[in-house]
Amino acid sequence: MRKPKSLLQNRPGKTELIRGLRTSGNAVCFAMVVAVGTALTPGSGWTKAAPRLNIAFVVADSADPFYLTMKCGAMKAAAEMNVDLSWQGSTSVDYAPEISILHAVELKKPQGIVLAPFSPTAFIAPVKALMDAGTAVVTVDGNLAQKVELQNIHTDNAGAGASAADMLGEALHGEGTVGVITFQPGIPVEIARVNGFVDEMHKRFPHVKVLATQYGGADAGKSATITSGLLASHPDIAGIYATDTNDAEGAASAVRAAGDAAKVKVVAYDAAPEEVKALRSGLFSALVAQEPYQEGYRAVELLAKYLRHEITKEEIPYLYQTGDVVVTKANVDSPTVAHTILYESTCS
Amino acid sequence: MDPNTASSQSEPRRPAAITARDVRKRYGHVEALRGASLSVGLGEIVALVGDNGAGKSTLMKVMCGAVSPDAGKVVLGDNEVVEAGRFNAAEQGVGVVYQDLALAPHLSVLENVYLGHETLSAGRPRWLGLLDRRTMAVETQAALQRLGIRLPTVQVPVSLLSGGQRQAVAIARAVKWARRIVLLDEPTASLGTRQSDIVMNLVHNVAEQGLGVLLISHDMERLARVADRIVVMRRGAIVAEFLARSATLAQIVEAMLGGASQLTHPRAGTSAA
Amino acid sequence: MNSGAISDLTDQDQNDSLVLPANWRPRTAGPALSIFAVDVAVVLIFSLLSGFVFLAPQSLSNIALDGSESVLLCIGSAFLLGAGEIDISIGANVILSSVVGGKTMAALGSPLTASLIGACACILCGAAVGAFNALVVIRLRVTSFITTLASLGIVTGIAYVLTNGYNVSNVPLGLQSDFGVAKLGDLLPYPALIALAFALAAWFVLSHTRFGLHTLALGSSREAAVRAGIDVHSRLMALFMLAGGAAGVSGFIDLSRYASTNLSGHQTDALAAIAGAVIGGTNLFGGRISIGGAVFGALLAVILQDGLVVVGLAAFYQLIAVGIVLIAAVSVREFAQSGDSTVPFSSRLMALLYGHAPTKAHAPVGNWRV
Repeated sequence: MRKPKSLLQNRPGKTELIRGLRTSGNAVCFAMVVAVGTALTPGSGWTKAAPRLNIAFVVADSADPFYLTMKCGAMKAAAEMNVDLSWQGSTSVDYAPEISILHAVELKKPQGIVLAPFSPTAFIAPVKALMDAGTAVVTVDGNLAQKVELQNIHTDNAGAGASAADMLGEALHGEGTVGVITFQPGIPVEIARVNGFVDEMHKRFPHVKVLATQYGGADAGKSATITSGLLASHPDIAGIYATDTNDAEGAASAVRAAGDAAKVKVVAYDAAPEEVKALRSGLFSALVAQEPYQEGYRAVELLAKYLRHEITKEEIPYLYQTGDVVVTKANVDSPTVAHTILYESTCS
Repeated sequence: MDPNTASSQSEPRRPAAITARDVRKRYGHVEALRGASLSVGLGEIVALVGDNGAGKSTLMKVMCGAVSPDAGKVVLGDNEVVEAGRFNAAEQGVGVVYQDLALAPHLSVLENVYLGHETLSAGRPRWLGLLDRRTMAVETQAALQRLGIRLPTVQVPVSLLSGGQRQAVAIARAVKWARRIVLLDEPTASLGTRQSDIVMNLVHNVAEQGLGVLLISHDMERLARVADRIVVMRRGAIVAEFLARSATLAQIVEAMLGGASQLTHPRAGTSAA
Repeated sequence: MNSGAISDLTDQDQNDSLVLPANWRPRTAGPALSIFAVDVAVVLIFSLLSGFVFLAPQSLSNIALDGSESVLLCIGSAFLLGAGEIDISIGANVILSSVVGGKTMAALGSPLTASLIGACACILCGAAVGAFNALVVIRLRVTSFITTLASLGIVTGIAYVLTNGYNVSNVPLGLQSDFGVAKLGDLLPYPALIALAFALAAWFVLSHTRFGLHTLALGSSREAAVRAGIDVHSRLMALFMLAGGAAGVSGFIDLSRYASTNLSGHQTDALAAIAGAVIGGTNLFGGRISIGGAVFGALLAVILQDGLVVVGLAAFYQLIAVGIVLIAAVSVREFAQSGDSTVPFSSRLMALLYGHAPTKAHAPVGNWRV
């Protein structure tokens, strides 16, 4: 920038005046830019009080409406808490690619990570390493066999299974045969949903016969075939409990195809859009909905507060359980249920 | 004609490379071989001719141990009787080149020639199977040269060679490991004129090396110029034997067909008219 | 006739369609170099797009570690493909081997010996599955495609039966911390070193031993191999056990990295292994194997997966991107390999850039085997 000429040296002619104005104008502009820039950079006192945070959210099976709903909740929290949220998910339920994604995400050095672990053991070492290195980790939906993360947020799956048992047992008036279809063996979350259901059924409705668990592999076609088989081999079957969306859809379609929609009550886990439609049309008797929106929201909210030192580690309980809501035709259109419980593929 | 007397009267007796005696073979209702007997001497080129279905390939397969006959004997050398159909041609020094050549297209010339007979590095444990490629390359080049074949390199995959070159490699491979005789099934069937000439020259060179050659072919003209004896088969039996230098085409065809040629409308002035 | 007058075949064949010029030289490292170049190019692109985060040592370690299992399976597949066979049960084999190894380790006590014995159990189980495949192919004469399709289901089922559906996870922790995720000199992950050692051994066997030659012969022309007196049955048994053993080692690495089996995973392992081998230059129908190509082909998939995440591309776009890059990679390799290696690559590149057709590609010698 040129040194401003003294305006008093000569009689200021027109050109000198203009030049002078221009120079001082430059100086003022420059100062304004510096001032605003300083004001806008994070850490300055002029922007919101909270510094912008960098949080990564890692899931598997990212096309599932459950996780898309969780993403909506997380993004809402990110917007409210001034967080840069980066979302990375694999496309299958295999935990190995998810671990690779976690390692890749680490390279960008986020301050916090929310993780939906698809294995209770395989993620222990990476999460422990992250926590030791100073990156805060919150797990959602699944849980780790060792409590190495900051907090674990998940639905009380056993409790939700029990809700389903209550619902179905009452609908059957305590008598009859029910079938159970779940995703795959070895998934702790699914195991909890099944065991919660079976235990509650045996406890409260001992005369209801629960058939052996079938594995639909989250493949609607396969679970439809399984359900048809159950309907054929157990003509007295009066209820089916499916622990995930795809298996529930398969079961419902088989029930409808057999013309048994009135006789066989299907209770499904989760409230994905297709399931809600089936509920409205009477195919499902009830849906046991989780609260993925809440899980996503609370995870990001907690991390943001922790990273800004608004709460300390000691104040954070290890486990935070979100609840379940039994959705029936009666309450499916009520405002609370419709806006916060039902899963959505896009955020409203 | 008695196969044995024909050769003994007009040629010096060669030691026999391989002899088939009274071989019979039946496939279902079809009698492929009806008591065929054939002898080939060391350094002799015998051509086996006949119409389709005469049993030429079957006889050759019996003589190389690929097919087990219902009756008959195969004798190697002068007196070594082997269990026909059960003997291993490679072990007995009988080289065979089938019509499909059985070359591995992706493998190089040297690898094809040495497949199954690889030279291993001296001084290393044999179980490792370390190849001595340098020695094999030199030897392959030498084997080709002995037959009059020159290739710029033996490292080229055989799929890049022309039909004639491939035939030459197949013959060179058979010759390298053969100790008595090489059997060739239709070596010029898919080749052009010039390449057929080259391959027939090769056949001659093989015999010059002291091996017997049994050759199935439809190429009468070249057979007449290369072979020592021409053996004619019809319907599973040997029906005629000629010395190549004294046989005429008409004689051979008549023996093959069992009568005159069926070719109608021969042009006036040709030998068939 | 005078043998001295025998023609020089090369000269006389001048007018034939496939003429072998005198300056023909074998190009053996071709496919591997092409795919290596593609790998490097992709790494550089991702590095630029990610602000060089992708080139960090940590990132390269990740790639090596993520690729170790895939490299093992690609090499095993390459050997089988080269012999004209295929193994689509290789992913299930990894699972079963890890289950058998994991259960063995859980049953034993102290970490070190348990790990070593567990490793042996993994490899033996893998080889046993391979032997089973070989027996069905050899004795029952079922093609390897159908055989391994069936054993895929059988082996997966056995794994589930053995574990009752629950992943085996009481694996000695030292195995993970000191081996599975540990690095030599903080840079080279141990599983990657194992994969590298396996690759070097495989390359040596392929190019310098009789076994390697016979493998190629089996795939190039099974008929020629039989006529040459090769013991086809024992070679096939060895090859299937080799691929099975590779799967066993991969299962051990899997167990070490995650301290757990992965019953529901490995779904696409077999396909990825075959793809990696074929992208790297191994002929799908037999006769040609490239170990270097298999290694770099395996790494390409890993580089893509890791890179797309680092760059921040959403998961669904990643699938599209991977497909496009695979086509591009194979096209690059095919172009580099076309022309019988008689015309230098630079000339062909020039010809392509200036609009002439490249010189005639060599006639494909297929070996259709179903």
